[in-house]
Amino acid sequence: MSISSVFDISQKSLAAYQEALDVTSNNIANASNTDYSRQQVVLTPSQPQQLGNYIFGTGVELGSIQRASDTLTNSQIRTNNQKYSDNNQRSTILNQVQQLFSEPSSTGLSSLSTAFFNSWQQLSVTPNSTALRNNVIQAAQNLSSQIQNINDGLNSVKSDLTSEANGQVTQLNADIKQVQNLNAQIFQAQNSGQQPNDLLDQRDKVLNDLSNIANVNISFDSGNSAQVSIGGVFVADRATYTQLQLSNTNGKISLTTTDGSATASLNGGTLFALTDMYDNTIPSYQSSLDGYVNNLMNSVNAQHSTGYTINNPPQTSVNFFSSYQSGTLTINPAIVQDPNKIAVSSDGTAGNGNIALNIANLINQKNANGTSLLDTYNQLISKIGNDTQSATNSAQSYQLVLKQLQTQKASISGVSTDEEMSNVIQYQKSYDASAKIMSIASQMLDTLIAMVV
Amino acid sequence: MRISDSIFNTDYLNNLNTIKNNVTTLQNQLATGNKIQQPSDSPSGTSELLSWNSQLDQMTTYSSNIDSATSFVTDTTNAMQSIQNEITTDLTQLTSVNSATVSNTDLTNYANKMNQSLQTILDLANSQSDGKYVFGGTDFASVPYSLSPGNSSVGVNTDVSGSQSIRTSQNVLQKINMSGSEVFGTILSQNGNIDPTTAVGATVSSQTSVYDTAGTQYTFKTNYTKTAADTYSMTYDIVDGSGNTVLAQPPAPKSFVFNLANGSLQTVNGQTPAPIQINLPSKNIYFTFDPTGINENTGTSSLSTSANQTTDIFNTLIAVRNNLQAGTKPTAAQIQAITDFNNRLLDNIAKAGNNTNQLSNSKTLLTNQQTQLQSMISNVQGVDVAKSVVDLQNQQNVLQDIYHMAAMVSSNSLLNYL
Repeated sequence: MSISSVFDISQKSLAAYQEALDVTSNNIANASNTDYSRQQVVLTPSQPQQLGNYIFGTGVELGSIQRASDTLTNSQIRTNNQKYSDNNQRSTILNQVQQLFSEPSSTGLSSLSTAFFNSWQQLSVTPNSTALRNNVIQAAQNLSSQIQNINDGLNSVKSDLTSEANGQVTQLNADIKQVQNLNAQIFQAQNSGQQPNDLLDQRDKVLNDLSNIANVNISFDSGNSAQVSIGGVFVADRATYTQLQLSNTNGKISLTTTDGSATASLNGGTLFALTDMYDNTIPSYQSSLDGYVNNLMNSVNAQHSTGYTINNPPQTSVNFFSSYQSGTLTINPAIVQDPNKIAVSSDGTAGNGNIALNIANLINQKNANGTSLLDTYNQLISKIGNDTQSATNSAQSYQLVLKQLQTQKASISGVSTDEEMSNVIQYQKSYDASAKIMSIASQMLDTLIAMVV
Repeated sequence: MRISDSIFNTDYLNNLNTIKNNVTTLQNQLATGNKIQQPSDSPSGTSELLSWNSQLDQMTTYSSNIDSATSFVTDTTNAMQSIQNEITTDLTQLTSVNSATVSNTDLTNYANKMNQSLQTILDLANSQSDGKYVFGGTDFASVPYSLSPGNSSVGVNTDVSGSQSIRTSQNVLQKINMSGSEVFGTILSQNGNIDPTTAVGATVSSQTSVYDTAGTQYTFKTNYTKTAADTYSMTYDIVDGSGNTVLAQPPAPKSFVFNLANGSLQTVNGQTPAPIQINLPSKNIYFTFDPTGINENTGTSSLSTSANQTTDIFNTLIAVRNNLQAGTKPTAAQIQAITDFNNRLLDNIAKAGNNTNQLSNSKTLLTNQQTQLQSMISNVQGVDVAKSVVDLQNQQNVLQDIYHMAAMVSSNSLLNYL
């Protein structure tokens, strides 16, 4: 061994610790980046030299830069992401929907329906009163207006859902394309002997984003490329990718490939919430509301048409409501123009309010199932409340699981500045010591040269 | 467990968010006084609230209706009491006319007094409450009663037999008016039985006497022709002493349907049975026909019809007035007719009083039910203010602690000591 080998060892050591400090510096820089997986320096001894009967070490070198990551935790996070995003999106939409009904309050349909039937009750006491007849028309208009507001609101929510779903599909397609691109880059880097840690982080982030949007199935091939399918439809691997689109068939939206050859079977993620709310949940609410309004209109008309108006000559077979179409409950325009055409007399005399009494009592009349008119509406509100509560509770529940998994992930992959600063001190001291050795070797060489001179 | 910087940050934000949510919820509850802001706060509670609020609103309407009806019944009672005062005065005067020697001049004076009394009673019979004729039944097309041009008779202009009812609760309907036919009119009540084995096409008949305002006798005939099981077509006719009809045209047949189970009259022309007002101004014949007492039960078919009076009070008073003007004292039959009317009027005043009491009782019941319902609503919806204030204070303290902890912990790392 010569003095020059001391220089070699020190030089390698200085280089190794400088690289270690680079990695630590990179970790610290990404301490706030939640998608970043911390990197660990693995230092290994250099190839030793044998001189005679002795083997001498030749210093240290950078063995590898490892990425701290747990595949199982990442996979569990993606699974829970789908469920959380689905329920959270539903909770958000349902909260908007329940606000549309304004219950429980005096502006809700329940109060306005009661006010409508109460106006008939009041009219039954003084059936010839024009003021009370106008009161009935006013109550009916208030009722009709709120029904229109709710229906408009539900249609508006559906329209927003379509826009939102289209936005999600655009994001989905961008992510799919990026996965294929990252797969190719990762494969290339690995083939050239590089450690593509940052590319792997980027791909994990994109896969997480995909799991927020839809139910993704991800597997990794021997070349560590992610093979991704959404709802049973293949969308990306290292070589190819498939773009998706929203298709609207018979008023229902679905996720299909752009060529229409395959339809994804969604069961998770925000896109599932958006399409399911659009296709099933909101239409079921609209159907229930329509059922209530139709029932109300038909019941009132059935009674009203048997009564007599108090104009001259008295008329019968007059409907109070003209129609209920496209969410609009229309009051008979002839009645709006002439309140005397409200037919509450059972015998044609102006003081007879028997029909008004019958109409007023419709609110409490029970059908064959023992359910009153208002009960059917209350059941709808209760269902919306339950659906909202259930989605919110499920979202909170999945969020808790997700937080635990993210904590678990952060525990493995997250950067600790304390830890990194400790490493900095360690590497700095080692660097200082290596430099000192080099200085000492220099002095030794100086001594030898002085002896010669 | 290895603690990274992001765990600190995430946990801190999560806890902060949870506490802020709690604070917001409590603040909303305290600001509105309501625990249930939207259906998802308590779906079952919301359903109960909607149902109870609807019931409460209905009760408020029933209560308001009772107030209007009470006013109407009071006006009716006052009118009947005023009529009763007039009739009592008339009876006193007529008794004194009959028990003393009076001159023709005195009789004329009494006749004038009778005429004035008649006018007063007629005005009271036409009195109104809230735009409705008190004794007009349900037909407000014109004044119910009016004198003929020569003041020789009082005719009925409208159907004064109608019944006005209000709902005082979900299942209770209460009649509030005393119809003109009940108070003043001649009511022909038909009772008896129709044999259900009567063949389809066969007719069951009945007849009785009716009188015009001058006391001329006519015959009122009713025929029930079976058209199907439990269903009969009813027609009527009024004929004079010579057997000739006095109706301008035959009335439209009415369909009578009897209840199969108990044999009572179920519907008339598809509606709940009610007395039928028959006005024949051309012959001065006015009466109410009440067929609600007939049944269809196994046994012989037999119908009977009876009248509560021969002539109504107005035309009785006119006859008395005419007699007095002609120098004739009132007959015992006339005084008896007025006395009978007075007795029926006292009964009707008592019925009206009973109506007032029932309305008052219904109002009290409603008030109690409203109080109870409001208490139930308050239990479901109302916020326990004391508890919420304590909870809010507690959550705000926790929030402050989190801020302090975050400030203390986040500011320090190994960097501070290098």
